[in-house]
Amino acid sequence: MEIAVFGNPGSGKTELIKGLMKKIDKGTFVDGNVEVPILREFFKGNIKKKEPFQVPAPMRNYMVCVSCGLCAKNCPLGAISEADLWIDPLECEGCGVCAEHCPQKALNMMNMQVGNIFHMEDSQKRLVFGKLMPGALGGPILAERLLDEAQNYKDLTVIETFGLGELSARLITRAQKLILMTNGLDESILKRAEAFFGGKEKFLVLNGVHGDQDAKRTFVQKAVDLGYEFLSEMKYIEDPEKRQEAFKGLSDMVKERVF
Amino acid sequence: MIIGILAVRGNIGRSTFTRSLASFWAKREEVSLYELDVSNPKLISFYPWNEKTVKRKVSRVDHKKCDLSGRCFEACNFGAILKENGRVTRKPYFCRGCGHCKEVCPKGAIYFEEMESGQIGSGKDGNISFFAGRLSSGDAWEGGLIKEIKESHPIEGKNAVLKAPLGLGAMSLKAIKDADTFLLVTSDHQGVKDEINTFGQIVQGFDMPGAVVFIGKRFPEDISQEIDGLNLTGLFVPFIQDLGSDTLQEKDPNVQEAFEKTLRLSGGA
Repeated sequence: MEIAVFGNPGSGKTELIKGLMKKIDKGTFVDGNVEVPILREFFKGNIKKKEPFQVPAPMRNYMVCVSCGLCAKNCPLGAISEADLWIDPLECEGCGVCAEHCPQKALNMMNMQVGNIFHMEDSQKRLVFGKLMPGALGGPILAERLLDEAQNYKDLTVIETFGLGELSARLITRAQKLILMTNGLDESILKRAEAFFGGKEKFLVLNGVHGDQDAKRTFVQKAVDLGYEFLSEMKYIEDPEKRQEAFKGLSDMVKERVF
Repeated sequence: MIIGILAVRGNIGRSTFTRSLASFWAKREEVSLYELDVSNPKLISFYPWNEKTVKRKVSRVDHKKCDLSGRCFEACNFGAILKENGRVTRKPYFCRGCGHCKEVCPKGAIYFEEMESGQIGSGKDGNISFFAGRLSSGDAWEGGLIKEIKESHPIEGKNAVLKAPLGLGAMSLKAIKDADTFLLVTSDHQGVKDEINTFGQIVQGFDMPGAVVFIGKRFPEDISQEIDGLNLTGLFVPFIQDLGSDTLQEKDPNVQEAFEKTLRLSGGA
């Protein structure tokens, strides 16, 4: 069973997961932030396993390259400079079309390490997180790999997504339950969840939303019409201790009604 | 001078900071402001922009021709085309439109179609020229749309502020690689040192000036060492709640010192 916590940035996903980590005795957590993973700061256990994360990238063998330029001409992303055939690591997505077109077989797709995958353990609780090298490509693919790793434990899996782009889309397509957290009333977040969430059960949490009651009610009604169960509305609490207390309450509710 | 603005955390005031910096700068000269955080383009509600829908090409399978050779999904590195229940299925929102699947298909069963990727557009507000994109709810890959914005409205040679997609990975850096100054907007939290370290390594890799903009109640002294050690500049901006559409300087003129320092980072203005 995979439960994804999805929501706009700053909507309190980490605080909820932090609370759930304390409430649950058995299960696997996945940190979707692969650039600056944060959940490890709150997880008590030790690192049990560390493995490299690799993505395919084109490598040029200059001994056989004749600078014919077909790679640059055929690169669908314009990542190879026609002037000196330099491959821009930020533009290259690792699709492999250049290698396909190289008549000399000077370009080969090689697995290149761009980060690491870590497993932490605290008796029957686990945390799977990744750390990408600064500025490296492959974040969304790494996030999916973390989910694969977590699924190997065949347990309850709780996923914290990151952002609203490709990475979170990849994670929520594979979840069975969704907890949508929002700090605003922009309906585009409901549309995004509808487009990618693959499961059926959906739950809604409002956290620190400004705006009048009517606007909130309209938003919640829209979500309910889409099949969401409305869980709770959290007020913005400035004091960190009181906030933590409030999220403890939310964790209890999630444990009871979602799990 | 081109300033690229990164953040890893949301809802800490990056959009407000970005807007405020742009209007401070625009008091002196023409400034272009790019909203490149296309999956969460908060700035579009603050500026006029005439949007137009853009499409991108993605692969599609002709099942009549497909013989399930499996070559396409072996070739696809993005999980955009896969075999499920004895049939080739696709997830066009992950497709880069690279056409690798098309090239390896022995039956010529793959062709391109156009898929709505989002809206891009521009507008003008006094001295600020605004450019932005908004990813369609049905598309997941930000890269195509960001490229479209930059190709339709080239950044080169301008005074510009670029707001990057959330994060510190390739997608975020690719969006702002034209910048000559990088800023990281952050706030006090448990992972702030790791965040600053990662940012510091990126700035070193690009070999350009970088600053950490700290939004909060006060500047946390325990991170100054981190910032100095990485050759970064630390800037402080007070957190102001319920700002609405005002700028930071309208509420607190002291914030202008941080903007002034920002504009001096790469020797401009």
